[in-house]
Amino acid sequence: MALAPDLLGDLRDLEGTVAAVRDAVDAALAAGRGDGPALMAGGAVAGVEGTTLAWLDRTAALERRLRAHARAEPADAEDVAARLGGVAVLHVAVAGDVGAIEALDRGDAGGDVRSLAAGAGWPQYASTIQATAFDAGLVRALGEPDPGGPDDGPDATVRAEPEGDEGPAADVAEVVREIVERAGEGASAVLFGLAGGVGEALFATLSTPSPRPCSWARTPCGPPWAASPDG
Amino acid sequence: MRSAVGGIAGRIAGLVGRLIARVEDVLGAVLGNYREAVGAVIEEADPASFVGETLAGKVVGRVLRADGIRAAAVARLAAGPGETARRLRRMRRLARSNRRWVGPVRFAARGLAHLWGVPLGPVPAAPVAAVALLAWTIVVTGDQLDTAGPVPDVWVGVLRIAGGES
Repeated sequence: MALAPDLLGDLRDLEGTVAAVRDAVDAALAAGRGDGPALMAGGAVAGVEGTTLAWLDRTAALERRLRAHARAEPADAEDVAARLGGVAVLHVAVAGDVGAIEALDRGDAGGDVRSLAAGAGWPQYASTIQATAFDAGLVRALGEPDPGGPDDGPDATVRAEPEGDEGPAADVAEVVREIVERAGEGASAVLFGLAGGVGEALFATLSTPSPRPCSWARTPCGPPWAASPDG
Repeated sequence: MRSAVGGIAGRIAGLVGRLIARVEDVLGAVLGNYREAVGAVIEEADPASFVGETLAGKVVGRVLRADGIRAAAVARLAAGPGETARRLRRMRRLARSNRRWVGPVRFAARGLAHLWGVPLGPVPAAPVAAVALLAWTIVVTGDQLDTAGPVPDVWVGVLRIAGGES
């Protein structure tokens, strides 16, 4: 038995919940840039915290309902597993954007967000939530029937594709190639994402001014490659 | 200027910690001990070899024995020719489902860089989240190909579909 329409509807409604987190993070980022209304750190944290906790609460309830459905209807295990995985990927996306403003943890509630953001390497927007939930269509997919179920005949959610001319071997090869290449793309993106973090940390370290004032220096200030060959 | 009372130290990190804990709980329920499975896959391939999407696809294919699975699936299809069209339709549905649910990982991965600065106890959140995303790509792919090894048994994968399961 397919997922109940009310469960699909509630999953669809996560769109607004995750958008609220995105907007709260964006408000903090805009305040950090000085583009939006000024915010105290406590206000920014409260906005992000309230929307993120609402996201956690709503998804927790839906995760429980999905798990209960899979227990009652083992034939739907694939569909439920896929949706739970989709929610988990959204949790990572939300964590990425919320984590981007971690510098707020080091401030006072009454401090200006702009001063805390300075030099913290904040992104322009909550782009991970936007890209994952909306541009990639993941949050919308949560509320739609899954196209991967057993073949019970024509499926209105699946666009018809012409049969291949090269026989079943070509069709199988195409399916395996698509699945494997997507895993490669995902794995590559994950490792690039990690490396990006390492790179940013390294850059931040390298770009931090030396505590030694230039006027005290016996050698010219700046990186070694900026010094003249004859000192 | 809006303001809020109360201390804010650690509240953002606390939120990230709760989100990552939920990721681990959900994926653990779906994939079982996914860290072990990811570890087994990574052991077979130098992580540096995943740099570059085309090369990464080849590495994943080698680690999951995709060539052998493809050949075995074709042989199984040939053994039941009357059902070929239905089984191929089912396989394409599996591929579409994979596209829908695994495809967004590459976008979620963009946020990993921001998690290096967020501590989860003694470790940064970034590698913990990365292992979860790797699990959702590589382990699910292994399961959907019916590869042998430490993958769960949630999906009826390519090999089993070719053999007539639905």
